[in-house]
Amino acid sequence: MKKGLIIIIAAVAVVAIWAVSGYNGLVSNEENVKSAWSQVENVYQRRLDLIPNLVATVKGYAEHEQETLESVIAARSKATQVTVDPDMLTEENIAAYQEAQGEIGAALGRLLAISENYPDLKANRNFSELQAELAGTENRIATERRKYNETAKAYNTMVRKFPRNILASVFGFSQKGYFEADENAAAAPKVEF
Amino acid sequence: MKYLTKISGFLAASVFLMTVTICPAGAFPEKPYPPRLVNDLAGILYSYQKIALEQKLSAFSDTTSNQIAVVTVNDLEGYSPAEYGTEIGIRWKVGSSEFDNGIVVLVKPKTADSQGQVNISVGYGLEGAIPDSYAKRIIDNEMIPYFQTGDYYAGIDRACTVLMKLASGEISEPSEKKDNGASYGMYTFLFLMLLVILLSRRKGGGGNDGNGGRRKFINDKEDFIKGLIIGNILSGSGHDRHSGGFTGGFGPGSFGGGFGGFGGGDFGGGGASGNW
Repeated sequence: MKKGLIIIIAAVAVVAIWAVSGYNGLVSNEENVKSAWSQVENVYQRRLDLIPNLVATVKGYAEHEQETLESVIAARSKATQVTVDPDMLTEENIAAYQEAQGEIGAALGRLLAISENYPDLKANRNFSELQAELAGTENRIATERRKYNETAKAYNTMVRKFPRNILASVFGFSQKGYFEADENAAAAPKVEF
Repeated sequence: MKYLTKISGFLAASVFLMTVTICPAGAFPEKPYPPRLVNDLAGILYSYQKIALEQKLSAFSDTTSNQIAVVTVNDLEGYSPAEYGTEIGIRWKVGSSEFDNGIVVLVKPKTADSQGQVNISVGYGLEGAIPDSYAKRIIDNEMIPYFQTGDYYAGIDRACTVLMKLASGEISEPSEKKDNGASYGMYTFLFLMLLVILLSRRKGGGGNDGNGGRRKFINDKEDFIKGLIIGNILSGSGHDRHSGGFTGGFGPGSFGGGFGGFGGGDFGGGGASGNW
């Protein structure tokens, strides 16, 4: 009788310790995912911030390209509407975000393509610096997306693996979405010199 | 039973394929052991050049904790130079973990059937000191002109010099103009001319010139002095290079100490690339 009680108490204690450490592991991993996400948002925001300056510079040299310029501005304002709550990093939310940002990428690609036709614009120092910043930002986006995916993968593995998946479902830790490889990678701004 | 072996064989094959496609093994060079900052995997530098560069960069790492790793490879394995450089920085953990103050200078030499590619990757902590446009300017002004003549060492060394100055805050901007070693004589001559003009103007007691003209003159003067300062810094770097080369060449004993290893720095993809 007494022995049985001790065994039960010990078992409960072991389970409790396991649950606490498992829970904490999930929490800290989820925090990692969120901070990786905020880095992703930062670099996309960085690209958004470059656009007004870029458009203004191009406008000075290529007035006839109103349509392209406006498509960049439109894509930008559309993308600023699409934000993702870091607590809701679902596949759908990330896909929507990625799509909106992808449109900016495509519009910027067209803008840079037409700028090839304006030698004066290409010679402009401000423009070439913006181009360098833009190229660096594209690489930052790729880097932070890759880092996010790696972090999300580590977290998702944790959430899905037995027996921690029990804890995860009890405490409502859901899987996080990934960034998909860009289908229109060819349309993304290819900043070559 | 037959099915089982078939299925397991298929599974094994698909797992193998997946690992191959997901992480192309050996695409990125391993972190060097013993640690070193100059990794001439493409074999484009002479050994005395490597020693000089290694000494210069490891001394810089010792004094400022900023780490500049130079990597040359013959093949980027299908990656863009920016991706490749960033990935090396992340994998090798160039820079200190506290400041993320690493830089990776990547050079893929030009060959008969492929263009030359170069990239400067800047760690998170140095993105403020070395924005992408500065990195681009260094590539265009300090590296590619030398690479085009086949002088890889000069290009890499000059770039490192400017990067070191930017990283340590010695200068806040790399020079804008293509300054291919403009001579001292030229500067002295210009300086003397300026002096003469200035003095003659002072004597004139500020005659009634048009105001616009005067303003323009003052602006020119400021630009000129800026140019002079930057120019001096740059030509100074040339001298560093030589002395570095000599100490490296003559003093193999000074090898002791050396580079202590990469410190855990992280990269976010900042920097610039170029090709020729």
